[in-house]
Amino acid sequence: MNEGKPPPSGAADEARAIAKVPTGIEGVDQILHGGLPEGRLTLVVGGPGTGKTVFGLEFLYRGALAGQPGMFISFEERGEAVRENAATFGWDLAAEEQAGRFYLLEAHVDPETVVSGSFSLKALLALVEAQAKAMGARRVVFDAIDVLLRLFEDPKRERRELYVLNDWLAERGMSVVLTAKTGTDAEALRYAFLDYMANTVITLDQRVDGQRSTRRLRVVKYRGSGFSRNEHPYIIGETGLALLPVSGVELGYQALGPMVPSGIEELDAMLGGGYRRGSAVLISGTSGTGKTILVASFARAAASRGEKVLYIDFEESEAMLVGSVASAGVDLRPALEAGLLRVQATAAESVGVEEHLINAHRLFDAFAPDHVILDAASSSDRLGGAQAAYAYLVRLINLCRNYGRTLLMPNQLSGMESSEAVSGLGISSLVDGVVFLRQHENNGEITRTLLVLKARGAAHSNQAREFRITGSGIAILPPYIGEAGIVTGIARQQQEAREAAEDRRLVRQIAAKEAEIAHLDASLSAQAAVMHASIEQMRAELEALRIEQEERTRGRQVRLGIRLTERAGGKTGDV
Amino acid sequence: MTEPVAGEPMPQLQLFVVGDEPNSRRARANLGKITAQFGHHLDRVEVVDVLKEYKRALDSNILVAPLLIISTATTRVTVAGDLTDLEKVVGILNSLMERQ
Repeated sequence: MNEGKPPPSGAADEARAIAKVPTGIEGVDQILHGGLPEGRLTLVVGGPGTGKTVFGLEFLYRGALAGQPGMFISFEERGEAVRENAATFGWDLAAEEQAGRFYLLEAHVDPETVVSGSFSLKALLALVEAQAKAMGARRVVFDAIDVLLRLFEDPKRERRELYVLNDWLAERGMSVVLTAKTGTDAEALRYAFLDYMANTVITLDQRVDGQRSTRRLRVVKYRGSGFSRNEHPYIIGETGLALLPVSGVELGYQALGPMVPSGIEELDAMLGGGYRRGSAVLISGTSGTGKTILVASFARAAASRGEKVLYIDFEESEAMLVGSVASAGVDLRPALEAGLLRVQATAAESVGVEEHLINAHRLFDAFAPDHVILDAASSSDRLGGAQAAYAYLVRLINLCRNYGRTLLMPNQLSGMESSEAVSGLGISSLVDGVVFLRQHENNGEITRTLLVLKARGAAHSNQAREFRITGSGIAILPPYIGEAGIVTGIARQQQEAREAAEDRRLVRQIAAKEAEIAHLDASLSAQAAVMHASIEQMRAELEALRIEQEERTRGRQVRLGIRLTERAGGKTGDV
Repeated sequence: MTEPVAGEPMPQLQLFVVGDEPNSRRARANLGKITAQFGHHLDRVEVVDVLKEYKRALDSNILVAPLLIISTATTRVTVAGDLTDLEKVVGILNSLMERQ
């Protein structure tokens, strides 16, 4: 639709692009990369009730406030109805009319008009030109031009008149918004040529998702300019039209920032330093696990560092929140008084998804929070079903991510989910971190554990840790891994006692054994000494025996020698 | 054609034109034919050039031109176009006068 050419996207291309007039409508100029084409024609089409008139009127009203006079030519609605419509948004049209910055032409087409021969829109153009000149108007809105065109009773003539109108406007350099109804296929077909004629085409669409209607705005074409091609949800809110950039791609996600302390020292250690700034973290757990206290601790700590926190509360009022966490020793009042914490308490079911998002967007702009808390992600189910909840959360996550805002989302599990389900909302893959709070019943006592299931970009602990909600906040106990796995509470104490007794018994047994050994050792030494003595004695006795033996041998030899000598000396008769 | 009843208010004709553009020129000429035909039965015949008197055109809510406004005390009929189809205008005038 863009003449087959890609839109200019670089800064240089943008600089070369056509001049623009800002619409002043919330979010619209952002996706139009500055505004509508100056001195050109913009076509706004949509079915009944999509807010075409509001779009045109707001374009002029915001322009008038900025000192640019404009004319509104209403072909369908009575002037009174237009003024009443404006009043509901708090726009003081009368003041702008008196100041000569706004002119309303009630161009009522008499349906009884008889046609006799050919005619043209020249009278209208002459009126517009004269009036525009008189008040210096450069912005003109033709609202519901299709009503006027019906007078021609011939699509060919309608077309010719519109081309004349287009040329006439181009010659005079007026920035024009033309609105037309395209409720039916026949209407859409009849005015399809308008798409080719107009420099810029914006479609407004209303559809029903689940129980709620949602509105989407889309820029179909924009000659000579870049623009966002996405469908953007919008609302007709309290102060006019407001649109929300839906996709973060066009803004660019920011990388996760540095670690932000969680407000609980031990949790920081478990998270690998803290939450990453700009990350989306789900705090999941069943009712009463301390989710709100955990995020309130974060809010208090952030405020104490001078950082701003926006607390979107779908669950309870500001007073109830402050009171409930105060009993757990988390005092949010100083943060509120310092203006660093803002609680936005609102019922999830009060308005639609778009309005909730736009309210958030406005608060982001006005308050510029560093961190955002959504209590609770699970409450978004009440926005109008699972699909609406999903859409809301995805967009809120993107919105926070785009601006580098940390998003903490307590999320209540019903307890019916499988153990793997951390959100029950289908968003666990979109979040950067999951802190899982559980409660266990053991020996008639409830104990709580905290587990960091996921923490993108951080070396987090994989250990479940017991924690207690004390009078001074959440206290995470030192890790304890016993023989029988993780044990908590009274069971933990009993286990600890058992372990201690076992330790003491061992110490005693070891001491006893050592004593025994020492005793044996001593006894061995003593016995050895005795034996040594015996051995020595025996050796001595052995020596004595040997000496005796030698002496006896020597004695015998001596006696033998004496006898031999006696025989050899002459005793004849005796031998 | 019915003869008008004397003393009763007669229709007024206001033709809005845009300068001298072709449609407007033809409309002026055709209006001349009508006045010639009805002459004394008409209260007032006026031609307003939008280019010269745009405020009046604004007040009368003139969007297309040429535009003929035929009015009586109780009725107002607008006829868009160069009045080429004279019979239509004549028919309207006749029915208005019958009602008087």
